[in-house]
Parts: sequence; structure tokens; C-alpha cells
Amino acid sequence: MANPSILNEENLKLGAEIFCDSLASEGVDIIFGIPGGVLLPLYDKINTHGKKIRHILPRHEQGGGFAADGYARVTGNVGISIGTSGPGATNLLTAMANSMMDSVPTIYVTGQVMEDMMGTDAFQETDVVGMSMAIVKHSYFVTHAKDIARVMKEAFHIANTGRPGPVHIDFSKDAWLTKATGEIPEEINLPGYTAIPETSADSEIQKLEGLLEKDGVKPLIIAGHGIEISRAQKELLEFAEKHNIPVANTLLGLGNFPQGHPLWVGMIGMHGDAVANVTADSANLIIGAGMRFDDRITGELNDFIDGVTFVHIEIDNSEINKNVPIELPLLGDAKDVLSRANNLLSDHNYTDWLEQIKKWKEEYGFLDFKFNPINDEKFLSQPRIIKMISDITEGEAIVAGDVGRNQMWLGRFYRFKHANSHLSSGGLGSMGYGLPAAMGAKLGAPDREVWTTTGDGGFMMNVQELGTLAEHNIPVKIAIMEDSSLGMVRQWQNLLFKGNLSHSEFKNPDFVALANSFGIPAWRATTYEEAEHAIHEARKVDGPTLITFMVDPDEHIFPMVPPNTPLRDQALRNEDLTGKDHGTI
Amino acid sequence: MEQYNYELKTTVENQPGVLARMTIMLRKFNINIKSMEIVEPEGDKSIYEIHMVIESPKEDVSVVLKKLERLVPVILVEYKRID
Repeated sequence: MANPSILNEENLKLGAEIFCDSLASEGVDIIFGIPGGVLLPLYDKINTHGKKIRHILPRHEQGGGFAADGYARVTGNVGISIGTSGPGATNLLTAMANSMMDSVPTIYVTGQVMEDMMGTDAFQETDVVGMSMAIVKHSYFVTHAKDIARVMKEAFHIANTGRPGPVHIDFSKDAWLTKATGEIPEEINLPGYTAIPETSADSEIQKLEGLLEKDGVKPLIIAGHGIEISRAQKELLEFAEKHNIPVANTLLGLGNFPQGHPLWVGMIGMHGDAVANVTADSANLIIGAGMRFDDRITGELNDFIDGVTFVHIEIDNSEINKNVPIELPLLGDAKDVLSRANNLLSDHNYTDWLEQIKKWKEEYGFLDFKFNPINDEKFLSQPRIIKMISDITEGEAIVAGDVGRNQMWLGRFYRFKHANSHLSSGGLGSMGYGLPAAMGAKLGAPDREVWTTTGDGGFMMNVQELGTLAEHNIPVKIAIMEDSSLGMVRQWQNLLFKGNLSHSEFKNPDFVALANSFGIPAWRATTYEEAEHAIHEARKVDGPTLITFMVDPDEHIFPMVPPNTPLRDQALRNEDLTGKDHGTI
Repeated sequence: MEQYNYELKTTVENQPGVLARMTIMLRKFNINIKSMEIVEPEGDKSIYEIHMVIESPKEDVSVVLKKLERLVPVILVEYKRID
């Protein structure tokens, strides 16, 4: 029986106040949001009620969503973004899908019209819960203050336990204006939700011993984003060294294994390192750790599977057997599984296999530009610019990539020294991610140097966030690879569609003048001397800066494994692809 | 194209939208629902059973049904092949 005194009207709190208190009790220090009609009762409390939480007003909800996602990736805390009903909510959908595909702990808050207006096609009414269901880990619709404290507690729990992901909460305007005690329930009652649905016993982990000891075994670890989410870098390193197994990274896994380590074979996949691809092609025991065998890393699937035994270290049991048949699933949190494996298994070595990989590293010029033909005559080369930024920042920076060729070159030629420092829209592949994600990352890690390297196409998709960076003087260093082209589309058109550049070229504004109009210092680099000078100058500025590098639109990223092609048939130069029939693509 | 039929018995939390979440997940894998019954429990009204017959373009539905079970309000998914 509740104490009757707390039911007095004066002891009740508005829903808007309960929401603010919930954020404070979860330790939230920053939120990204744009107010609108149905959110005004909330915004009336956000800057006045209770503990002050920093609020950043992005210039578009998608920018705010990506910023929350970037913030979450570097801090491990839940990123929060808010949009109003209707367009504010639909603008957040892309960011929700992005957080879902890459398992990023986020809460997306949207406003909704009054409950009694719902279904009337009221002004700015959209069924955003209906729209988001397919692209979030879970969603709620809240119409009354009495549910807010419980829903918020559950949302934080769901977003950041097990395999993390986005939770969407849609609040009707009534939710802010009604009153309740706001008491936070002690227990979470979610009978259908188990953060880690299955955990493999030690006896399962010990089965790995038999696989590692088979005659002629050629093992490879493919380490993905799950290692970083689980903070299992140390355990991964110990595991790899204990058994002397080479390690390839997925795009999102880059940084979770030391990149100068002799066991590292680079990034695997469509535009991965040639060495990682030939290693995967020859390996007959593949241990996937915190990754999901995405089509961008397997190449032609049947060929990838053929003759290979797969082990999958994975927190989400519904990923097992999704794309490849798993002989030995090792379920659970990667840190837990790897640390138990490190205690349970004996040491191994694969001398001949490692010797072969060493030869491939020499043959393919591992980590150098051998397979990136450079056109230095007229333009700058993107990979050289990325390497220059990597060298000057000594691999210490957080770098948010955008999507396309620039994204692949960032993965290939920035030598990340730290985990959770490479931000990329990996699964969704959403252009426009880089700039706002870097903004969120810098706000989450103010002591780190933060860059975004982006194509001009992607940059223009969220260019409005220059305004947010300038207003709050957020020191994000922007590096635009300017080629007036949708670069990856152009590469495919050049190589697979006989050079028909259908709608992939465009005219840019003067990026230096544009940045200056926001009060942001900017440089244009047309030579390597100018590029180096600009990078050094930008780093001296305690605020946002922009450099636009005039790069070659026809420099292609290699290797390239065209869709439905085995990894071993990776193209290493233009001639490997031109003139061939790619009719099945 | 050949279809594979399964009978599903799902145990779910009784709340608006559960069915929508489930049908969205099935549609993602191009699975059709042939029949469906929502069974009201005799005692505890917070947990319901939903029975379905589905037809899938792929014979192996184990991953899809694991994904279905991972939906937050879905507690348990049991299934058997019926053709």
C-alpha cells in the first residue's frame, strides 16, 4: 500500500519532469534534440527542472541522431536524441536504422499528438512507432506520466545490455502534461527479454581444442565490432597470441587488435587488404568473434563456406547459422568467452601457415600503396591523404568516416592505435554519417583529437551541422575528399558499367568560403605541401576546422571483390575488371 | 516456388503491438501467415499464446524463429514442420 501522503497533488510530478529526472538518474550528461509543437511541455522543463543536462540543438534531427550514435560508440553510454512528431520523427528513422545495424546503444525520443487526436491525421501526426518497429531493438508508446519512469528504466536496460541497440520511445503530448509520482521501480519486469539468451558452458569451449589440433588446420580469427562493444581487446590479443592465429578485422572491428602486430592481416572483405582476403580464402578454420558474416566480408558465400569449419563467438544466439553453417557456436559475451577460452585451452602454433602469410604480406605489399595506383599528376591521392593524417596524428585520433571510397580508404590507411576510435556507418552505409558522428564523439570524448574524413557527397548530406559545431565551438577537424563525384558509385560505373557515369557527378560550393561563413577556419589543398601545412594548421586551432583536399575522381580503391565473387578473385587493378562481363551484378 | 509449412506456438506478453512486431519480422524473411489464433489464457492475463501456421520459402526457419524470439515481448517460440 502506497503511503497516502505521496498521492497528494503537490507530491506529483509532471511527465516532463519525470522524464528529466529519469535522464539524471541514469547519469545522462548530454542529449541532442530539436523541439517542436508536441514537445514544448517537455522543453519547458528541460532547461529549468532538476539537474542540468547539456542539450545540443542540431540543425536537423538526422544530425542529432548520428551525433548520439557517435557519442555512444566512443563512450559506451547510451546516446540520446529527440525529435518532434511528424517530420522530426521521420528524420530520425535513418539514424535509428544505423544504430540497429551496428548495435549501438541509443534511445530515440519522439513526440506524438495528444492521444485523443491519434488516428485523425492531425497536424504533424505520423505513426512513427509503426514505422520504426522493423529497425529498432524495441519501442514504446507512452501516453501518461505514470509510465514514464518505468519505461525509461527499461529502455536504458534494453539499449545497453546484451547486444546493444536503439530503443525508440514515442510520447504523446499527454505524457508530458499528466502527473504521477515518478517513482522509479526497483525491479525490471521484462519476461521476454534476456540480455544474453544463452551462454556456452566450459565443455563447449573445450571442443575448440579438437578443432585447433586437427592435422593441416589453417585457422583465422575474424574480429568484429562485438569485441569493442564488449571491451574484449585484451582477451582477443591473449587468445590470438596463445594459439598464434592470424587476426583479420571487419570494418567496424578496426582498432580492436594492434595494427603493428605480426599476427594482424588487416581488414577483410570487398575492399579489404589483399592479404586478409587471401588468408581467409585459404583458411580452413574460421573463428568469427563479435561479427556477423556480412556479405561485404564473405564474397561469394558458397565459395567462402566450402571446406571451412566455422566457430562463432557471439552474444546474439539468433546470429548463429544466419549466413554460414556454424560447427561450434560459442555463445555469450566475447570478453567472458575469450577469457574462459584463454584459461581452458592449451597453446598452439602454426608455423607453416604463418610463414605462408608472411610471404603474402611481402607479395602483396601489406599496408602500402602497391595496389592503389596513384595519379599524382593532376590531383591528390585519397589514400595518401588518409595516411598523411594518420602519420601526423600518430594514429591517436578518433576518426569518423563517411560512406563510400573514403570510408574504405580510412579503414585501410589510418593506423588506429585505440579501440572504439574508428566510427563508421558499417551496416547501413549511410552517407552523411561522418560529420555529425564526429560531433557526438568529440562531445563524448573531449580530451581526444577528433577528425572526420568524408567525401564531398556525404559531407553535403549533413552539411548543416557546421552550424552546430561553430555555435558550440566543438573542435572537430573536417577533411573533405573533394572530387565532385559520388566516388564509390563512380568506381562501380567506371569498372562494372563501362564508364557510364550516370548521375554521379555534381557541382560543389566553395567549401572554404562556406566554412568561413560559419566562422570556421578552412583550407583548400591542391598539393601535398599544402595538404601537410593545412593539417598542421588545423590541429593548432581550438575549434572546428575544415580542409578540402582536391582528390582524383578516378582513383579506384583496390582490392575490389565484386558482388558474388570469391575473395580469391579480388581485383587488384583496373585491368582485372575492365572489359569483363559483369552482367550478374 | 516450393513453400515449407510450419506450425508455431508463441508465448508473448499481452500488450499492443506484439502481433505487429511479429508479423514485421516474418515478412522480413518473406514468410506468409496462413492461419492464426490468439488464445486468451484462463488465469494470468499478462501472457498470451499466439498460434500460427506459416509458409516459408526456405526450409530452414530456425534462424527466423530465433529472431522472432529475440523480440522483447516474445517469451517463447516453439515450432514443428507440418507438411
